[in-house]
Amino acid sequence: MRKLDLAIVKLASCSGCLNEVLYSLVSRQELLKHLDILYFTEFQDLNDVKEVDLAIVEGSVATSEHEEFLKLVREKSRLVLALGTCAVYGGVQSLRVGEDLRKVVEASYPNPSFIEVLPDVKSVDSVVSVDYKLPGCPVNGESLARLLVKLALGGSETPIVENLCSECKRRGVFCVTVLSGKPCLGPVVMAGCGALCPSFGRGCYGCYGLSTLVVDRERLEEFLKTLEKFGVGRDDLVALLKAYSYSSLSKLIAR
Amino acid sequence: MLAGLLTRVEGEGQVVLKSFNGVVSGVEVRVSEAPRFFEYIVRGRRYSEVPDLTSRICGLCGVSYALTASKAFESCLSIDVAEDEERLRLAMLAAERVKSHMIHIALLHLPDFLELRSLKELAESYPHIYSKSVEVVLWSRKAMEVLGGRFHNVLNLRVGGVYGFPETSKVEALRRELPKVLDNFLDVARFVLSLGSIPTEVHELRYMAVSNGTGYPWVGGSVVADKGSPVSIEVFENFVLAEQARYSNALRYRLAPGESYVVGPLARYNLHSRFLRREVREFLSEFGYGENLRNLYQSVVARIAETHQTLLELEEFLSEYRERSVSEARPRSATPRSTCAAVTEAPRGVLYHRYDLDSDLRVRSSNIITPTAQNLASMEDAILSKLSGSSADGRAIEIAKKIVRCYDPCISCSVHIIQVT
Repeated sequence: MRKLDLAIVKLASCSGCLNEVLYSLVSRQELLKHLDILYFTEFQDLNDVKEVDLAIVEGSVATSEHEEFLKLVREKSRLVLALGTCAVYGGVQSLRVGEDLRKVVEASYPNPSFIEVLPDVKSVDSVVSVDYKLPGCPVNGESLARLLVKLALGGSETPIVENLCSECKRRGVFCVTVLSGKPCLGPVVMAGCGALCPSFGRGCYGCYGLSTLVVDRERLEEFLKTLEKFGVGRDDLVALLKAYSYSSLSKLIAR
Repeated sequence: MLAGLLTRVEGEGQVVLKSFNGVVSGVEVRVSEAPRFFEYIVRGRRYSEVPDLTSRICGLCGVSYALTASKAFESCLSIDVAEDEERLRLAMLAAERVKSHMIHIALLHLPDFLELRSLKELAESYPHIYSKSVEVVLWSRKAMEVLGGRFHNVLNLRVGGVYGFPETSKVEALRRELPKVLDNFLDVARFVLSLGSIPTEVHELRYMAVSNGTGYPWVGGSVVADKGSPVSIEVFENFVLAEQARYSNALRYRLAPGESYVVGPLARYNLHSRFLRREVREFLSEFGYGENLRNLYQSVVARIAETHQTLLELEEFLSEYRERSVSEARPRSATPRSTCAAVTEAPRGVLYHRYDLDSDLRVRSSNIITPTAQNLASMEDAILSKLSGSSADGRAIEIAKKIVRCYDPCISCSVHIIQVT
């Protein structure tokens, strides 16, 4: 059987999702044999941006170099997977968007003029077309491994969109809001992690992102008002949603 | 000028050799990774939200970032963390160290000693070493999941302690697997330590590590450089000097007299190896390694020693583990201090956080000094002292890249850094 040619590239990010890529590659003994990794600077010396079946993109677009590189990667790839919350929505670095860029740079560097970044932080799909999206901060490595196995065997992904609450129900995790009055973003956030935070008795803080398919603007507004009754300020809630769902939030709420 | 893309390291960077008449005359380690401005994005955030954000600085060592931030705020607010909760947090830090070190020892660094170029070549040429290494990494993943919720960006860590204690049955399952994991690890360690290709030349280096005076230091309130006296973290920012180079998105640091220094496993080992368990020291001595390691390449030996030590510490934690309920962390003092700092040994070395809080307990400003940023100046100095006068060619670039890899740089973390007020 022909091998699946892969390129694994990184934009603005922490490499946490690349860890999950590593996990997916080593977690199934047979998988590596079905793949040819042509570009993955984090784990190999020989790297060439050439035609591939699948490009896995970690990170968001923060510089004009990223934009150019991403367009090149799209041209060379039959399929593109946006991997993780940065690639899918922008990531925590989106918290700087809308602020005075000069002040942002000055907060981190004594010589701000040396630093060049875009005023916006862009998700991968706002620059090129994307075939698959797997959000998560970090992405769930098991989901990635399953997708790679399917693609290596010539299959495809069947996306299921539901909110986090469904995972708590399936796992039998008691609702932290109902049981202990803790604020939780579960009702408006994408499922996929396996309800990790509620299983440790903590409310979801939304790192798989706000789903525009499970919530619209009016419902989100109502939901935020309800959460405010639990003592969380609206600004803090919006900051959380901006950090982990920037591109979705922008679609729902005018900035 | 000759440039080489840094590979088998975390993040995006380049090493550049400058030449004069075909001979190496200067070195630049360029961090091209895009800045994410963490010092700015934590501004205005309530203290309790910050550990989850700083965890996102680094995909390999998020526990270190979240824990250091938590400790800084606990110091501001005079919060005492319950002993069992602190032990659980330190166990997460330990599991992260096993993950990070094992990935570096076997999957990133080992190819250099075997003249291989990738994970896949390693898997094909040395299948047993590869699969044993993978077993250790996969166990560390399971440990991170049981103790902290997931492999990266653990969610069971907060200012004041943890959110919950894992079920005893899950912890017990981890403990039962540990002897096999330790065997696999020791087999990989024997293989690496028996390689004749780890150089023995002597490098003149300065070292800095956290110091607590009583044990091998993972956390503490002061740092020590070489054989000097411990320096309190209250004055850490005067102890190291920051520079910004035009060619790099990361700041770099030198000790106050202007000298570069090394942080990380090699520094910890050479400053504190006497505190390693006897079992660990005896194991290393079988391969001729004693109290001091001679050079940067031997950082792999320090990583092996620390992984061994950490697995033994985890064994103790897991066997003594008792599930309990979390306690509510209450500040001891009604008047919080507005500025506070903390330091932790991340897998790659000294990690320093300082925060200034406003009266609403929101961050006004911060300074985060990462291990890799501290190592950058030393990387350039080490490459130059090795290559100065050699011909600037592809071979020299390869040597330079190997030296950089010894530091296990985490380039994503190093990008951003320092608050200028």
